[in-house]
Amino acid sequence: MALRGISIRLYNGLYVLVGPNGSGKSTLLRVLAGITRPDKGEVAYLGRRFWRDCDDSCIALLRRREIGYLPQNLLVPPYLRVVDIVGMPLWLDGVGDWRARALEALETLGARELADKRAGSLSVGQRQKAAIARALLAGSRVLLLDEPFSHLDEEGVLALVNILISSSRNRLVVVATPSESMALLLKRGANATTLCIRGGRLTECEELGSAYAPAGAL
Amino acid sequence: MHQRVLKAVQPRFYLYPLFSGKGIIIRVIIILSLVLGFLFYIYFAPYLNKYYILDPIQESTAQYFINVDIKPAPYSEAEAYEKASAIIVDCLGSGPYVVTALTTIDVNGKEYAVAVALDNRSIRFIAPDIPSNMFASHARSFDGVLIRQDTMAKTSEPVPRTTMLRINGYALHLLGTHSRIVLSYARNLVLLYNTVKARNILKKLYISDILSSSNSALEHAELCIKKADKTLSSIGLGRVSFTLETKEALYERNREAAFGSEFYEWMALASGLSLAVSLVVSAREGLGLAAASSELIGLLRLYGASVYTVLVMGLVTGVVIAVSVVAGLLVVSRLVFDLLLPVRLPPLLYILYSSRELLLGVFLSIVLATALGFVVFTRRSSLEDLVSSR
Repeated sequence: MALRGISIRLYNGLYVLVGPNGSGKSTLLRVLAGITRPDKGEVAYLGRRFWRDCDDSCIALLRRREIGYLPQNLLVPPYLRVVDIVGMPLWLDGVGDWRARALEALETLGARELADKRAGSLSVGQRQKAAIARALLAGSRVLLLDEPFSHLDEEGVLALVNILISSSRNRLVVVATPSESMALLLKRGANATTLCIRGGRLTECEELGSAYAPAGAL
Repeated sequence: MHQRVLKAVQPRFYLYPLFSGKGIIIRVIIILSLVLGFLFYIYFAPYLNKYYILDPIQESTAQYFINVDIKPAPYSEAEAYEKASAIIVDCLGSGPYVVTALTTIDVNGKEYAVAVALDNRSIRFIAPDIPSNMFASHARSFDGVLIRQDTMAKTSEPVPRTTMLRINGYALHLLGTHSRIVLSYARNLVLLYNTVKARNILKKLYISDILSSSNSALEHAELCIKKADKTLSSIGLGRVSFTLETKEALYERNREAAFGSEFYEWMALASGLSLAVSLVVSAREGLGLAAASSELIGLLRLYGASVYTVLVMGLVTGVVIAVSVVAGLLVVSRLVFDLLLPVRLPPLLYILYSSRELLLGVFLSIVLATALGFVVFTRRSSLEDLVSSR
């Protein structure tokens, strides 16, 4: 989905990007994560413009250290252990205690027991938890989560909501979801800012009570 | 930064495709082993001649090869042959010769054309089917040793474990081990028999060749043949003549036969097909293997690992496949040789060394094509593609 006319500045806090399937949520998250390069326009992170001031390897470094990204395809290789998958951003970055921190990240999601299992033996929901834990570990400043609730059970959803609330106190957290009820829950329960997207454009969130106000860049 | 990430990737990541694509790997190993094994059979055939004929000639201590031609007078064939053989054998005495004689033998009721040799010198030349050290011990303790076939024609007769051979009323035991092929498929056998009995047998056979190791021995052998000729012609039994061939000439003649242009064409065809098949199958399956590992490739690229990391994954996977395929093709070719053309293959090291160019070519083409498959997959699939499909 092509994005059009999006100009937005995001600060620390919780944002919910809501829209139907194919509306451009994932594309926008990929642009923000520095994966999809926009044909026109720019993405800037803390004043550094992606692909101009910060090349691909610089962006990848940010994804390992500051920008945690949960992709639509979870990228949980089935023949690796969960702890290796979760710790990979830190491990590739040469962080010594990556394993302990990976275990901590799993612990926060209540998934510590998955650590030594092969990803291939997990359910989709468990794999999703592993991928979220990895994003949490890498995202020290920004969390970009593409449909993080889709395969979680009720308990998992609640745990994740709590994590998102606490994370957003000192981080920018953007959650993409097609579920308006989930968006409403986050808006009311976690004081999230809702961003509605349709046809590749950010629109007024009529039913939800829009908080979207076009501004500058990320 | 890429370098840093590359160094950090652990070997088990490089080995990941072996797990994620094990089905593909098994398939590619089986396909390539079967196809290349058959092609290797074509390619290696001339090397069999090299091992069994050319190398022994080269290693032989004999420097001269004398082909004795006895032309008997009408109606006195047997007498002429016997007389000539007796004169030559007596005349040669115990000199440095290998004397061979042609005859037919009865092996369990079946007739074979054979040659009998009087000495175990140049044993690899006349006994390529039996390792020389083994031969030496057997030659001391055995009545006789079965040696090699010159031409082969497949027969369906069962292979006896031990065989009694009868030549002119003398019973000889044939070696059971290593003689299976000869017993089943030989047309022309060579039998070495170095006891007193052999002399008696030889006198009743017809001398065909004398292998001589020195100039003086050669002169002596020539004198012996001339003596036989003189005697035979004086009593009207016929004439004895000879043709002389040096070891080098013999080698060259056999080399032409083993590695003639026709053989080269077949070898070139087999090599070309082997490389083409290796390249095409490996590249295709390399793509499949990379696709099977797409989640790890996506993850590594998401966090900054370069395309070189994927290349190394492909190379490692390719090496594992290539080693397995080379081993597989050797096994298959051995089976093919055993089943289609029951020939005891030379030792493994000899096979590997003789066909090193082809095997190396196959190895490299598999490794490179597999790695290429990984790189092509990575180039075709952007990071965006890898993170997008759920």
